[in-house]
Amino acid sequence: MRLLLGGIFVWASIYKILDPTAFAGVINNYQLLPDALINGFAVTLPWLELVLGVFLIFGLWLPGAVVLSNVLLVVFLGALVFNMARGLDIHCGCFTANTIGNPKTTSYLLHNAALITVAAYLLFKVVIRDNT
Amino acid sequence: MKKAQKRNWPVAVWQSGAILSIAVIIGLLTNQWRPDTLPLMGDHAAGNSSSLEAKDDGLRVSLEEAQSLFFAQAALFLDTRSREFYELGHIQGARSLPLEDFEERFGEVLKDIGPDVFIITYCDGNSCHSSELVALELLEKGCMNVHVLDDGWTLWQQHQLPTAAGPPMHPNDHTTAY
Repeated sequence: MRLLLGGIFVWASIYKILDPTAFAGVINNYQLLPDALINGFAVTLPWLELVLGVFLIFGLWLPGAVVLSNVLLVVFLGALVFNMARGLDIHCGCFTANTIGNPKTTSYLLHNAALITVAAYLLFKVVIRDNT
Repeated sequence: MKKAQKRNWPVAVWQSGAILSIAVIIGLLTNQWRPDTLPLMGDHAAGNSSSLEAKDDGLRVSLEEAQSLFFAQAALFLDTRSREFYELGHIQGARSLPLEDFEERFGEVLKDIGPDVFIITYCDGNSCHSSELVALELLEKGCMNVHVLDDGWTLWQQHQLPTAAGPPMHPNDHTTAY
């Protein structure tokens, strides 16, 4: 499970690290962050995904990596749901900077929900159950 | 298993903070070293998107122009977002013509529209290209007066211009401002 989640984080981080300008455009389209924070997020968020992915894959600091994964995925899901609720059909920007074509927001919501399920399972297994 | 029992919430919290710090430091340092350094305080004002810059290609129409044409009932608005978003809300009188359904629905949606009618396509968000792509398809199909309102739905709402919600009354009844 952690290999799956870690692999997805690493995969998702690649294009963002290679093209932070395009990723800044994606963040901007979400219309959630003030202008001053957009580039900072575009520069650091992909590295958070990469570092998290590597930590998950290699099982390093697993409780911390799992908690942070859950937080990150919930924030992503919240941003998608919020924009869907206000009728903004933006592109997810989750795995690609391509913003052409149908955003397929519903599909990404389902993907994200599935990832949260995996992350929640890891949270239970690594942090909650082992803490009792 | 013994090792696992040491894991607990305080450990998870400090580890999370440490991972976050590592990522932020690497991100900032990498950004400084790369040749195309992204300025941390960028300008992302509306219309200044990196993915869709304001274009003066003769295709764009400003909100002011679109608004005037709307109230003069001198333009047909086409919503190129997916049908579900159209039904949540759209410019009053706009017809739904999603990019993915273009070939299938083009004839039906525009069957009563002459080639010289002023058409304004719109979608939403600075990254949205479907309005532009539909406009280009319409030009190819012979429509002569096609224009794009960039970030149309957001701008229209921000200026509290007339909107509607729900599907067309029935498939062949497209209430229109035109």
